[in-house]
Amino acid sequence: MALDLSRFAKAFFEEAHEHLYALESLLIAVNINAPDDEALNAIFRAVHSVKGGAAAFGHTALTTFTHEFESILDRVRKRKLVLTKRLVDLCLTASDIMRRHLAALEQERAPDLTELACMQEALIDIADNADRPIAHTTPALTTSAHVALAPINSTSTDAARTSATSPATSLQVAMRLMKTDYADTAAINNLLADIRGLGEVASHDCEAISATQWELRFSLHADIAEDELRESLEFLAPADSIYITSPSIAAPFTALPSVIDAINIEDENAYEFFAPLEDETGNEPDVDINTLLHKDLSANIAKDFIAHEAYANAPVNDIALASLADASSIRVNVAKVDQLINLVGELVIAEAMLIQSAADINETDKARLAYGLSQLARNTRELQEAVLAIRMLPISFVFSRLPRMTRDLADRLSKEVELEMYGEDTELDKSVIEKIADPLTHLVRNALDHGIETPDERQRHGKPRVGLLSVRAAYHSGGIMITVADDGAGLNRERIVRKANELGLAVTDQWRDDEIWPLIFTPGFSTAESVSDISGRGVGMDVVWQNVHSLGGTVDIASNPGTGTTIIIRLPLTLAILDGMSISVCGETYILPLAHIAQSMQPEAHDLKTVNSQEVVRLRDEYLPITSLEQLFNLSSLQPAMESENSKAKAISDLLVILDIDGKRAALRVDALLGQHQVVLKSIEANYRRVKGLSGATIMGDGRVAFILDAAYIVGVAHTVDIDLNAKPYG
Amino acid sequence: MKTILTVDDSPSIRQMLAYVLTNSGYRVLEAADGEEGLALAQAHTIDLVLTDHNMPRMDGVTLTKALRALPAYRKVPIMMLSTESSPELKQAGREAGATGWMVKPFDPDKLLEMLRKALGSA
Repeated sequence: MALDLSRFAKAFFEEAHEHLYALESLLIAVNINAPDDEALNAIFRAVHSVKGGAAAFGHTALTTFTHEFESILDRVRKRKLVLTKRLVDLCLTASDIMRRHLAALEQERAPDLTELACMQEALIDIADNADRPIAHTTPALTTSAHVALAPINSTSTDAARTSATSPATSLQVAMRLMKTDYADTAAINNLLADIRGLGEVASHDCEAISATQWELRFSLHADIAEDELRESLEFLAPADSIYITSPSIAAPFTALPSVIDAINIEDENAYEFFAPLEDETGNEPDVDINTLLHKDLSANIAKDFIAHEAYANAPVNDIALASLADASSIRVNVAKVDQLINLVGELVIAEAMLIQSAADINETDKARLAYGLSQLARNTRELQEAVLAIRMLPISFVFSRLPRMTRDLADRLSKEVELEMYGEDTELDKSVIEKIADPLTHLVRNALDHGIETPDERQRHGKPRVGLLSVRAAYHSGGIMITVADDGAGLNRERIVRKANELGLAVTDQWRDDEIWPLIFTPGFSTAESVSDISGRGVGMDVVWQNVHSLGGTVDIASNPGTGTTIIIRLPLTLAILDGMSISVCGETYILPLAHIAQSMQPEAHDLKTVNSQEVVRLRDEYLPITSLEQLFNLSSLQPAMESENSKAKAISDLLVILDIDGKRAALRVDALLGQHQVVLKSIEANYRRVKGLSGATIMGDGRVAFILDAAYIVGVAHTVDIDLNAKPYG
Repeated sequence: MKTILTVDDSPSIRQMLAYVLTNSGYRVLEAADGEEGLALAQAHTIDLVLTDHNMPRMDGVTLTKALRALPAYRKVPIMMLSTESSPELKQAGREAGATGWMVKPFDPDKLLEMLRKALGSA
């Protein structure tokens, strides 16, 4: 039966990539000095699973490789081989090579077999050398150790060497042929006739692997070495499209001695029955013997079972879940989703227009219309939420690259760092995720390079040698908060002030910490004594600031000398939509983000005070500064006539909206609260330029444009110092 | 119609087996590990079990042994389908009561041929 199994190949690649990802995370997380069994088992299983898939899908080179890899990991988990840092490094590189190999196979490119072969050698090498560490120091033991180990070490490489030179070897060959060179089966038959000149072609098949290529596979029984055959074949097809494997490599499970001694071999070892089938099923006594055998073995198997019970909680189970989740997801072009979001946005606006015009219709019609409209409004809202959810991705997309990065960087910097990550499931809009990836990696890099000290230095300061870097994400008042914290040396005030002065900024020692720290976001600002290849080129922190601000977010720094630095990024969840409260000030309509409104109030006269010419309002036991849009945007000066006319009315307008930005609060004086809307955010920056105090604009139901206020800015201005702080580097 | 239980922690292998087997007129039940396989085997009547060895929670040898301990599964063919090539593991499979062993990579024809032989004598 000719069944096409190629359509399962994609599933294999996805699975393999997940296993590699798991392998990498496990290798990074493993405690080298005291690895626990679960971790070692999980590491072994990750490679083993790749091997299983590779074998099932006939990727022989990868199967052989993973087989070697796995046998080393098997020895590690059985504590026959000691896990060392060097071995973990090698395993990580091996995982990289496997990833590249898989990518090549997936894209139907010729994989780099040399790379794979070299790594295979390296793995065997490290395993062999680790086996006899005494050999190097005490020559007397060398021979005995070597002799004792010889049978174990004669794995496929040795077997390959012997088979390549022994007469009448069977070699497995796969060749990729261009259809332009070999148009049809006749051409391929001619080619096979040529090959028959070299030896006996045992079995062959040929299939079209793409629109332009054939893959011809055959096994050749010939008295010819692998490289000789390769030379001959290179006349017929490009060198990099020829894969030759000797039997030990091509089919390690059929050619390894351990398998050959198995009894009852059927059909070239494709499968075997342990005993004649009749015995198994026909005669009752045989079954009894089997049952007896079970009893004898039960102790062993129980042990085995307990060992495998340990798997139950291993992270590998998560991987299985992840792949299940994958099965229920589809890939959609982002442009299509964006178009959908735009259309839904338009729908929301159209709906608002309808509601507005419905207000002018007579009572009975109005009731029916209103009912229809409320239905429409609900449907639209649900549609919008569903569409927006398509774009939401967990932040683990960005976090997942951090462990490996941390490890590699710490290595290069000779530092010891432990990375903690929290809130990887926190979801963010895809566009936000994309823009936050670089700033986040930069912050982590910075923390490793400049923040965390070398182990010796840490020890001198009475800190643990291993530095702690923690990266967390969490939902926070309508947005997301990402924190990168290290327990390193902290920012150096003096150096920052000195550098700021060099750049011509009028900074003095008297400035407070929260005024000094944001200076590091100034373009061209780097206090690194020497420029390293990791960070400290003076580009980066300003990019962090710019990226975060272009997303409508904020960056805050807290730092203490000797105890570390914490950088807090606050971002909106999505850029496309906003729950807002429309307010009226001086006859204009503005939108305040609902997420930042704590409450609105009409204070009693005795709650209002003026302190240092700053109006404040008492809310429970707290005095909050009062600000107004007239003050912020100079509205009164633009409309002098209106101001004088309404001056009396304004004097008694005591409606306050309390804004809350992460616990920092201020009151905004407004003329009226108009209602709650969901508004579609349109960028002002994209069409004009960034305007301080505004985070965007929207189109209201009546077709007029309303500005969306930046609550963070307003609260900042009310607490005047903070706006200075935000304004300094970027004026 | 004969029912075959496939036990493998790799979804792609399960999918592939299911594809080959259903196209050849078998009914297929799938389990992701030995425990799931054991539960399915107890809930359904199964004519043949195809199991991987190395799986989380419960491996193939343990599953085989557990199945053989059930009266209903004393005679049902159990084939181990694995990349494992160590003789010890084969021995363990044999002793646990597995009917036979099939190595990956398998090709569909060989798989079906093996099934016919195993089921034919049942």
